[in-house]
Amino acid sequence: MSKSQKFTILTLLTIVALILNLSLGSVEIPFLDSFKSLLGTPLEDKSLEYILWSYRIPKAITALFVGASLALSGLLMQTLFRNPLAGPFVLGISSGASLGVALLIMGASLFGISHVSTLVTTLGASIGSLLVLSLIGTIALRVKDSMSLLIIGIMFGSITAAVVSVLSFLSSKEELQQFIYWSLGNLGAVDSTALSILVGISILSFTVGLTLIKPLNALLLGESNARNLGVSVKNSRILIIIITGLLAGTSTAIVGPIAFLGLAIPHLCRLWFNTVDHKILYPASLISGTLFMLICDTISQLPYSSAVLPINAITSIIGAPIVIWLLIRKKKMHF
Amino acid sequence: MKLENLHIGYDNFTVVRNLNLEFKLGSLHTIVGINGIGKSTLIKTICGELQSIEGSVSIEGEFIENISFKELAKHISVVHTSREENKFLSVYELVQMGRYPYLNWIGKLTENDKQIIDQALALFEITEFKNQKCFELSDGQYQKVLIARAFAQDTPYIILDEPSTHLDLYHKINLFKILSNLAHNYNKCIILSTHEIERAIELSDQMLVLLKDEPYFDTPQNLIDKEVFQRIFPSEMVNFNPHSKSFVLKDIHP
Repeated sequence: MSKSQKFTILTLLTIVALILNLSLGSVEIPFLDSFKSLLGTPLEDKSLEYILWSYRIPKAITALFVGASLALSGLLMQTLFRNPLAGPFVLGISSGASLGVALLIMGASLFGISHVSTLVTTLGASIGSLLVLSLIGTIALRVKDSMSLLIIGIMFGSITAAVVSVLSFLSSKEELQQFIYWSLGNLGAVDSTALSILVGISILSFTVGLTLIKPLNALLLGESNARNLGVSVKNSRILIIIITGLLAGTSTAIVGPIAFLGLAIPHLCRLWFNTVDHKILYPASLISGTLFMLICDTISQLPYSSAVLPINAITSIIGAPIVIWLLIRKKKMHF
Repeated sequence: MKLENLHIGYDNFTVVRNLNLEFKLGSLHTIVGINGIGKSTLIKTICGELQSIEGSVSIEGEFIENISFKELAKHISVVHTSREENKFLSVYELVQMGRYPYLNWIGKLTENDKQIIDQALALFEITEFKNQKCFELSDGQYQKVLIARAFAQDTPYIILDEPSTHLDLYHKINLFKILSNLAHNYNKCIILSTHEIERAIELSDQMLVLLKDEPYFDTPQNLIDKEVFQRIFPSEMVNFNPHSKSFVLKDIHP
């Protein structure tokens, strides 16, 4: 199968997954109706149209951009750190966000506020991840090699995680439940402002990120070789960190820390396309991340029932077996 | 490439002092010396990765630190021994990266680039492997791929840091043959560091011998006449025989 055929299949699958995602749920909407409505035809059943446009479509768009953002961040981190275990959160961005949210939830109760809104958790997560991002960015300007940066990122993660556990130890049952609810991820609670921020930042980052394709490929030869090929390793490293921070930070702030996807999707793409070339991996990760997130979201809304499972659990339960199966089948990992 | 009054090292710790010499186009130059004497430090300095402590390195009259590394990539190509390259790159993908300094932001190859890549593949006899992944190659074939990458970069200077390290005797000789061909038939300035002193004496045009007190730069025969090779290693174990142009072991168990 040629690479362009594989891209066509991925795109078709994504469209199918989108229609399924819109149609299935506690209320079933006929596939044809969702498709028609997407193309702009008004539906006869106004209540279905309402569910579709004010609930399911925003959620699908969120899933789409979050999936693409995390997959691309994972790819960038794995290439920069030359480490197959790197993911969007190695720099401590999700821990920063967790700390922000934990502080806000626990702090609010000090002022007698028992329940904080989604807007507040979003704010807390944004501030937390922005702080970590700017710290890491400052350090990136000083540290010469990427490996130290990776370890510093992991250390940041440990510190913030430790502070979060102290906070949760001290907090009440209700606060803890709120925090855990946030940390399991939620695609459905996104309002239109948050959604437009997510879409705007993602599209901007994806576009600027295109200029990284050539430096990323050069980095496959190691940093000194990349430099000898005329690539500014330092500038590329900083741009990679900024883009990853924006993408992973925004999506964590808006839907919570979604694990696994960012680590796994780049590996799945390398295995399926049998290449390490970023000209292929860049678009492939974007599309596959979208596809994977849509599938997970469809499963998590448990079709034909009103219950909803946490998205963060579904991504791992579905994704990890796929990676294990592919690795056993192919015997050798592309890294 | 001219080195003038060059002192190299790290943070005030000088490794090699007082280098005054010129590496010329069309010549094969080797740098030899005992481990830790500063071969890699010198290589890093002349390819612009490391700042010199004193003195200067210049290419065609221009100081190397004044050349942006984008521009430098069109003058100097470097083959490292670190083997940091991702082995899942195919041979073609790796060789085409030599064209990076000339390509646009997305890295689109022109017809001219493709011709140069094909020429590099043919010259190093690796065309038949071009779609294979690098991990499938032997060390000898892989070394050729790395040098083909440097050739594709189309620079007058090619610098190699101990390129013979992972190779057997046949491939070591073959490597020197390839480099000598590049120097003499393609008018390249080849500079390599190596531990293959005997091969270097046979095949290089000029040698730089790094000793503790001072560096010597001359033709291999002149260096033999000056009895420089005798002083590379501590004399209690190995000695240089100027007639056979080879090193001989002293009897370690008397």
